[in-house]
Amino acid sequence: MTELGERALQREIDDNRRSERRLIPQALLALLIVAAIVFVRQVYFL
Amino acid sequence: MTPADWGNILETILVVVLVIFVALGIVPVLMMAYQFLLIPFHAFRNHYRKAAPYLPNVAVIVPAWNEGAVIGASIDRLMSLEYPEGRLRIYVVDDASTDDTPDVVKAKALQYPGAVFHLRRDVGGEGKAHTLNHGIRIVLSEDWMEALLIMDADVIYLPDSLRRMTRHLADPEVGAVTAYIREGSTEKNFLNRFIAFEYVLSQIGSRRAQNVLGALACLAGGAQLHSRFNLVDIGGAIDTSSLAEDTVTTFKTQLAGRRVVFEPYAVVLAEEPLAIAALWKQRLRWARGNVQLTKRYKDVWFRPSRKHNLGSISFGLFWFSVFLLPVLMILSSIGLIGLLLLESNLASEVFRILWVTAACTYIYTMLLAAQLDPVTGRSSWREAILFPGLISIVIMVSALLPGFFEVVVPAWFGFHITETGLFLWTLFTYIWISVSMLGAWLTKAVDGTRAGRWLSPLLTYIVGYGPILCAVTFDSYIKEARGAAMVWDKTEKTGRVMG
Repeated sequence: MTELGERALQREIDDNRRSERRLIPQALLALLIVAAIVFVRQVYFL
Repeated sequence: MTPADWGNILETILVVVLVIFVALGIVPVLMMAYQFLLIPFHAFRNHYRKAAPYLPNVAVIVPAWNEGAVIGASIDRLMSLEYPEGRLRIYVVDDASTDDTPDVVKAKALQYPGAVFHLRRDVGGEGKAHTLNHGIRIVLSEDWMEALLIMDADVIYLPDSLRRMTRHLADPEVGAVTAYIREGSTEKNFLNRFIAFEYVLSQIGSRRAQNVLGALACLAGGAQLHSRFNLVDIGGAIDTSSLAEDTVTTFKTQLAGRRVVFEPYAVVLAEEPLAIAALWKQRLRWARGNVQLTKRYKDVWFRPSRKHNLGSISFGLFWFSVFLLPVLMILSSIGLIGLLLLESNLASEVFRILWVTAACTYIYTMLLAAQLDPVTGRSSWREAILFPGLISIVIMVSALLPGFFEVVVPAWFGFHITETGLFLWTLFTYIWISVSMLGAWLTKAVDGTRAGRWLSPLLTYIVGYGPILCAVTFDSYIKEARGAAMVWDKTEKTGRVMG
């Protein structure tokens, strides 16, 4: 493996690791929508 | 004590038992929620810190039986993977094909000398594991191979997928790596779209959660990369005694103290069934395999170990909440109906807890899953919404928004529901969780008929795709209890997947 190739592969690993951070806002957004629906239920239907 | 007192005590005991039944029905819902709540933790608990650039000599074993329509293109695509020349060899194990598979593979062996090999089994039909073992024996007899990739003949590896898998093997603690199998048909019908979304849930969703827990349930059959050391250590062969050889391999690897990693950025496209009957056949094999493994690994469940995480409480609950799902659904219905017939006020309370929990879990998982794979999320948005079925969604709305269907909607049309009507509606909502499995059976029954062309998709959207998988699990109990023959039915492939 050339040094250049190795650097590119390591960069790809780092990029993928950083991409996983997106999971946090994605989950929070989904939770926020659930919370909004539960809020509507509590306020208007109970 | 008077007979009336005894009656009260018995009724109280019965109510407690029925409430427990309903509570058991909530367990799989909570486990689904737990899994999807674990997913964001993959941002911190993943294997990338221990991964490193690593491109070992990879031997690819491709089991092939009458794959003439797809095998040539598969080989070409494998040879065009972004992987160093000379570090990849393809061994096609031809399981006594009767079509032009041997000719196609031999032509490819000439086209790619020293990289493509045709291995012929003269007596075939024993199943995928036997076919794989034929190739593994030959590959292990030489020293060249450092990692072994097991795949299916029809799947397509995206160009960067293999190198994204091998990087995890740089860590000697890792024994095997699997990839994200994505439904890849160019023209998807309703069932392909459901399967596509199911794979988002079960793979890039659920398997990320399993990475976090450090215990993986199953390496995908079409994408499993083993280190040579791991392969030799687990016996140098794939298990042939069950219908779930992929899961056995996954368990053996982890029980030996090595990790199994799911790599979400390694994408493999696969062709999945077009018809319910074919899906049923495929999933019945998987589900029966799981029944067999549940018995085989009875000493593993709920027994935490320092060596592996398969015995953790979380993993055990995951496994059994899927394995026992039909039983839990039926118990839940029995509990609700029992409480209703006893005229207990708890009936409506526990019903609401069950279905509100289900609704919140469903909304959260669907919204998160759609973001995990936006391409599939866009193409399968209808199937994502209707995954549990239209009827279940109506029940969820009625639990979430009390009075909406019973009072608000009838008022829009200027009428109100009578007490009898309300009782029947309540009864229906209580039993639906179990009846949905009968609906799934009906969907399968009509699938092969003339009307099935339009009725089968319609019923799937109404009854739901989830209940179909649940009914298959129930069917697997029956088949295993009856000791039905273990037939390795190959799923028909037509080459609809294009990379």
